Amino acid sequence: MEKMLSDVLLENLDFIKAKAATLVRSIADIEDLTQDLAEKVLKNDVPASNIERPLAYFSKIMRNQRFDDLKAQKHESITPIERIDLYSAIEDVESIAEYNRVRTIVQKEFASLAPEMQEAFLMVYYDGFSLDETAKKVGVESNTLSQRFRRFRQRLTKKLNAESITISMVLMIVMNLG
Amino acid sequence: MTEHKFRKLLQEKPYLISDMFLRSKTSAEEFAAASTLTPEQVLCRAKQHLDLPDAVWEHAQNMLSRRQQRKQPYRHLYEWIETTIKKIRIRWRQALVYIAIILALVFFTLIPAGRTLAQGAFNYVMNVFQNHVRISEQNHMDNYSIDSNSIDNIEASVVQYGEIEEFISATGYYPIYLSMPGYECSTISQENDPIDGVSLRTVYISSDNESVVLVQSWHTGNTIDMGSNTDYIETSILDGQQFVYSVDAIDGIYDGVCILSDSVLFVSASQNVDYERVISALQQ
Repeated sequence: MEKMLSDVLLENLDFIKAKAATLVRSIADIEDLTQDLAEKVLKNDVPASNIERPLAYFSKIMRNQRFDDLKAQKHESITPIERIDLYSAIEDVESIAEYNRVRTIVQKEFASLAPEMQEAFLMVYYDGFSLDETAKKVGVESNTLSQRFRRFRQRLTKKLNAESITISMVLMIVMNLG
Repeated sequence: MTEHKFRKLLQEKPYLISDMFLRSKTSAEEFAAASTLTPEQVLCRAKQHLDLPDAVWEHAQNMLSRRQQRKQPYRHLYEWIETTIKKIRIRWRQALVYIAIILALVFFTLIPAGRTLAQGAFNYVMNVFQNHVRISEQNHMDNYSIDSNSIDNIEASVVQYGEIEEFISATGYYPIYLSMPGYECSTISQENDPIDGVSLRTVYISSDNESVVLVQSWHTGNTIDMGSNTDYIETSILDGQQFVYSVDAIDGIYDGVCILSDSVLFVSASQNVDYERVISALQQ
């Protein structure tokens, strides 16, 4: 009996729930997002061999679903205070301030990318797709995509250095804050 | 920053890129572990919302069953262990008694110190029956075994004779007898036993009531064990036959045994008998 994509989903439910937990707040939301994904996959079930990286595929579906939900809920805005694991045990105001500076710089640089590049970025660095797969989807060569990512990293490093924030500080700050 | 480090950082902390992401990967995994949603529940809810062919649900259900079986290959063993533990919890007093018995058995059979204790206790109990069953502590144990031809069709019986010649005529066996001045033969008794074969018991009494008893057995193949609580002495009788005897340190009784070519001879004499004279007086 050929393995179907829904089989892969049901076998990796814990992974999918963990991925959903990076996107939504409560357990109920996690379970709703997971259930929606399962129903989408069951409706259009295909053999698992048709999809190169099923888990990355599930991550992309959930991410897009969440993005659509957020667009639909125009009143909902995510403020830094709602970020759950960052400020839990921190009383160091300076660290929080440093962290906010890093986050602002990174998000600004990310937002400066073209929409298709932002999507490619998330597919590679969040979903887990390979560079080749992503390049195919975006419609560029994988070398081109790799170069664009490298240039992004270099720009980011430059900007952080300009703010007197070294990469090691970035790592230290980010790793120490949750 | 290298590509590897950058990728690792963003995978762990996706919220650096966008406010759409709320948690780090580690926190998300810990948080999601609190969810009790199971694959079976997902399937059940999907069945309520979707109208799909039965084959789809059957396939998914079969996959879940196979997964469940793979996860618990020894579920029968686990169930048995669970049931046993429950029973032990209910009947814990019984279980304690069984465990104590098993431990005692192990101690008295497998542990050397326990075996010694058990052996000592057994010997003590048996020594209570001193006059009826004479078993004393064995310091020296030798096994003398003979295998003689079996005598067919023996029935248990006792036959008394007046003369040795009568026994010879009846059985064809030539027994050892005592020819010692001052001792008269008072008893010539043949005992037949299906297991022990034919035995001849002759008792010689002196004028001052000292006795010498000879028992000669033509066995059907059993091994003869002889033990003594004193050292035994070896000598030879009847033209070179090995004779082993001892004198009991407690009551002075003389006991000896000689394995002959076709039988075994036991000699015992009371305390005051000159046993060296007895040995030299044995004739065939």
